[in-house]
Amino acid sequence: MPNYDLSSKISLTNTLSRVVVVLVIVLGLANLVLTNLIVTDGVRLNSIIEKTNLLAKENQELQAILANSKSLASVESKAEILGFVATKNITTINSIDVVAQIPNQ
Amino acid sequence: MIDFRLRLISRLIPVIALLIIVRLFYWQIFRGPQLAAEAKRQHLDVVRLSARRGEIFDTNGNVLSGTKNLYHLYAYKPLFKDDNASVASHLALVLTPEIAATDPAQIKQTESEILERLNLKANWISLKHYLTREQKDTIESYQIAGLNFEDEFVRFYPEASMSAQILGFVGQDQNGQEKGYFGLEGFFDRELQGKEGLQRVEKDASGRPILIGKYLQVKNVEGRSFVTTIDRKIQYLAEQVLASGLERYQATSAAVIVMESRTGKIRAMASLPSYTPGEFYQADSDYFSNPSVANLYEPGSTFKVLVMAAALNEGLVDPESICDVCSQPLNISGYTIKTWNDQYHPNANMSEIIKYSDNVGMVFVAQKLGSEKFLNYLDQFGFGKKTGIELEEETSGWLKPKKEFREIDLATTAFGQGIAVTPIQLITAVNTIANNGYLIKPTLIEKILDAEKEIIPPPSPTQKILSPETVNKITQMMVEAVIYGEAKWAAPKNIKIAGKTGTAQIPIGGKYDKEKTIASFVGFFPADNPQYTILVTLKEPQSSPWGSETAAPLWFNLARKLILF
Repeated sequence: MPNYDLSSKISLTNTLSRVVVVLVIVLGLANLVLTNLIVTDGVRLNSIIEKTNLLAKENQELQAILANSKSLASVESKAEILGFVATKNITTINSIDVVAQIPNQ
Repeated sequence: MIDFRLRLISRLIPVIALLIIVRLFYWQIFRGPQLAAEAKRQHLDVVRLSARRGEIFDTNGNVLSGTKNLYHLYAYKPLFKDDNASVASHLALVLTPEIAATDPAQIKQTESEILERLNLKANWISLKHYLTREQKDTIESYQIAGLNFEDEFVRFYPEASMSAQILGFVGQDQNGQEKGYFGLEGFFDRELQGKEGLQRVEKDASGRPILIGKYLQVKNVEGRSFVTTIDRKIQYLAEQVLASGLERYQATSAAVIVMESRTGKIRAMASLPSYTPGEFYQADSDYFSNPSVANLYEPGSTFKVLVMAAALNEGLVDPESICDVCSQPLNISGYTIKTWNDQYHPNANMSEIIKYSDNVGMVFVAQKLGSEKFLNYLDQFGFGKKTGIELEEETSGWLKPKKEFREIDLATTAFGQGIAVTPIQLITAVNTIANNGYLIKPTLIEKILDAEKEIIPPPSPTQKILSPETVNKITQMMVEAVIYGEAKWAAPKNIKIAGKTGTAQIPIGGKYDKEKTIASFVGFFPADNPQYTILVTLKEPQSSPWGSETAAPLWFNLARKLILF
């Protein structure tokens, strides 16, 4: 009487082996393709990093220029050139003490 | 013949194999670690991720102290394709100082200086520090092989010398690392510095990163930035007023503090002479520390309002109480206490004692208080200890120890002699009156800017010292002191000011010098609803030694300008 159980086990093992082999080949190929794709991205990454650094530096330099232009000494000299003059006298008017006051008046 | 060849080959093969094995042994065993390290160095790139130093802003976000990127030019001679003279002539056009850039003789001199450096017997030569971006771009446009740049971060101060003694400066420590000294740069040095990071990445033969290679990153932490309570407009006005006062009254130094009465926030803190933090190496080191927190002085008559407030608060006197010892000089423990002008006011009341700035009257008040309560109030007002303001060089002042505090000490301290305080201590104590009886810690920090969040410090702690009734009484006395006192001639007509003048002699070699004084004025305005508490001090004014003729007009002048804020 044939041993069906053993033959089905052998068949299953063969199938599994084939699947494993196929998987190894597929994954190997995928690894190869992806590696190739990613490796070339290093160039792009490098240029992005360089660009980021450059922009950060430019940003810093512009901030410094802005801070210098906004400084009070710089504003004062620009105002002088434009003909502004400082007020010599400031007159202040004090509120009068009253006994009673209508609200919002 | 064939035998001979076979024998020769059969012997040569093992000899050659042996030679190969020996050679491999040499490269792999003896030179192996060195070559491995070399290979690692070639394909592993280690980059230091620098942490940018944080910035310091005024309360409106204007930069007071920032960091900018400049460039260091160096030459690597093995890569040179042009001769040294040609390189020097190109560089001279860019590196000659701007003011002399059109002078051929100056350009020639710069050229010879560069050539001298290039002729040094070294491969790597530093040529010039702190080049601007424009200079760097121009040099790069010449396309000279062997010239290169590295980044340099330099602290810059857009407002030049303004707020110098609040900010401090950034120099180098013994190891050549940048370090903040004095002021906020010194106090918050570690927070401002941040933390350097490190990045290790595998790279290909062209130096580009290999994304599937080894990668390690320790993140850098950028330095924190600080928004101060300083309002640069008020600071600017304060410095202008101070500079004009220094010139007019020919004082050796002057200082002003403007404090927001309700919050204890310092809106301006100026002192002269000063320095430019960006050029600290050219300044006299005596100017580095902030006199408003580091210098001690005897407060003189400005101290009287605090002693009077203490006695009023204890209910020992009221504004109408009569001084029954004010008719003549007072003798205490063999010392004679006189008034500043040797004029006496029999039966003067407490308001008049403040108005006349009567030393004898103040001794009367202090004796009512007694040493224990007197010292207790001085302690509550914060004398003899640091206020906790965020400045590195703050000192704690000097107060005679309790067990050595004699009757004569009680008498002299009552009118501000025999005690050494810092200006920040005095203004903090007087601000208690402006702040409805609550002592509030002075602060220079509005908020801290982290890379991820904004940290707002909790409000400064307060401590109740004086009752509202006491505050009303002493404020009224101070208002009358301004309206009817020695400084009334200079007081603005339409601003209600509560203040007190002070003229303290300077102790030199254990004795008071009659010629040298510190003139001061402390007060707040508007007296009914105080916005600002201000202290002005002038050291050794020559035009007049009196606070009422020097510091007070300066104070009023500043108040007139501040009323617009």
